[in-house]
Amino acid sequence: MLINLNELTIKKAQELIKNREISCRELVEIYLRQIKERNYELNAYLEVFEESAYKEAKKEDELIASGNMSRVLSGIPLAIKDVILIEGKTTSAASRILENYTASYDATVIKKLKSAGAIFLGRTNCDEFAMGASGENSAFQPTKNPYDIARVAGGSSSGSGAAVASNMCLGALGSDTGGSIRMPAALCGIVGLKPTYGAVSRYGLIAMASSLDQIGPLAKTIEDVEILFDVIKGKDEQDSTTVRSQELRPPKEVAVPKQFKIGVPKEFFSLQENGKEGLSKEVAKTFSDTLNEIKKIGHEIKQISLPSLDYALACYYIITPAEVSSNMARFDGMRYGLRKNGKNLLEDYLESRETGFGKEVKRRIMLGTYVLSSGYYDAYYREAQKVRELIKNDFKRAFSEVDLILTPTSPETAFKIGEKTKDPLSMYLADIFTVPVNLAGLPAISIPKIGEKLPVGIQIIAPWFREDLLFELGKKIEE
Amino acid sequence: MISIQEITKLAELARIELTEKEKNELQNDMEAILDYFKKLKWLNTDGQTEFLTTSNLNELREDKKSRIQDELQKTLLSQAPETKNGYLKVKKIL
Repeated sequence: MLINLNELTIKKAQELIKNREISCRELVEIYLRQIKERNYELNAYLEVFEESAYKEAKKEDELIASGNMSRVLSGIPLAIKDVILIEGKTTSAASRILENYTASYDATVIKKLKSAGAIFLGRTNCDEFAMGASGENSAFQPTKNPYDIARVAGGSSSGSGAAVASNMCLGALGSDTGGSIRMPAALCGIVGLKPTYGAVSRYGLIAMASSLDQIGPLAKTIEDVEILFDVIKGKDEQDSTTVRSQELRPPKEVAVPKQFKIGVPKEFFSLQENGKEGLSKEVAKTFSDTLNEIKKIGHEIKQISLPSLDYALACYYIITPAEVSSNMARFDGMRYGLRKNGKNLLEDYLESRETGFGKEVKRRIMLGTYVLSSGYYDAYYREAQKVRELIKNDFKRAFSEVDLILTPTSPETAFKIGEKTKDPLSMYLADIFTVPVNLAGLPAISIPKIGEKLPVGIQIIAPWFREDLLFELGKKIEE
Repeated sequence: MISIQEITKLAELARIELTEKEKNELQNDMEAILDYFKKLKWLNTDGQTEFLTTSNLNELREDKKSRIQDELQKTLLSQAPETKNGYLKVKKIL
């Protein structure tokens, strides 16, 4: 049967599989073929699991043939970011220090996807240890943007974003610490969700900043993202920061307003000026047009103020490197990963880490070590934690006035490869709209719009554990 | 101003053997980034409590040891560069 990959979604594929119009094997075959056509140019996948994908598809087909109902994700081909452990597969975090590391166990999200019948096509490229906003910090070359291969795909889940956008999978998992799902979703023109902190288990995710990290789905439509989110979310004994979210959300009949009150923070976008300093004209116009569309379908837009937002980026780049420097300490060459042979134990550490880590990783470890060192801890880290609490409180207050908050996802559309690599601070500034969300632990989604030539992401932020509101408004904007 | 000596000391703490070139680059990078942090001085945080957690709903498990299967132990050890008799082998510690 002839399938138009551009039109295929997880939802449609579910129907095709359920109605036996296509087999899991056929579906996997189509996507593996697409990968053969496009991956060399885009570098989205670091490794393709061709053999195991066919094996899994065969098993799934046999299950369905023997009379069982197809499972929620039977045969659905997914791509997994190279920081999520799949037992028996290499997980390298796009780093030389883990280049030959074989995962000893499945991440909880992988277990859940397996139980739902999903097929893993491969592991996707990303910034090394998820540190970056463009994908250029991968130790294995950057992923290119399917819209324009001279441009970045956005990071750090660059491969996942590009793979979905170029039909090399039906959906993907990424991870988001400061925007790493939403940025590639925005720059590649797809949907990406960062769940509420605690909604999805981090067990089996290579940790970057443990108080900020979340695993989340990327796909072409909001419905698809919702399907994936429903499978991977949930309390996990193995991750004590996960929360039983069902207990926190009000029942559906009461909860979703017919008319949304939506706030736009003046620190990020002035409704009066239809823009903001640092925002590209293309993004400002697309965002403004979207606001008008939303007003037309009957929702209220109002300007709000969260004064602490101006300080969120500085706060984030103190806290994150601090947590990173702690999390990266485990890569010492003793139990796994690259080990260089020095004259003594100390030299083993010094040389292994020098050789194995890339520039950005080293930069963040050094920054983190600095802000946590005695003499500086109070001035930087402690202060940043106070600012973080201020940010959380600003959001709490804002959500007593409005149901949802809207901002652009990224201050600009996909920039050229190499454009920001000389100046790390300019790269950090790309995260300006996304980091406050992680600091507060809120859920946020990036919805794609097309600017003049390149995709533009619109970010919706909801109160804690209200992903349902994101999906509701998102679907309305999608139409 | 962050000095090269400070960078050297930090690298020691972080257990990374940086080259001179890397130290110089880092000095420039860190200066620019630490400079950016100065804007936090404009925010009044007097009396503000520190962020502790995003949710107060953590559940704890019982402090019981769960037995690790031999298979898993083998798998874990298979990733180590050097082992001996089921132990990790490293250079002299003391």
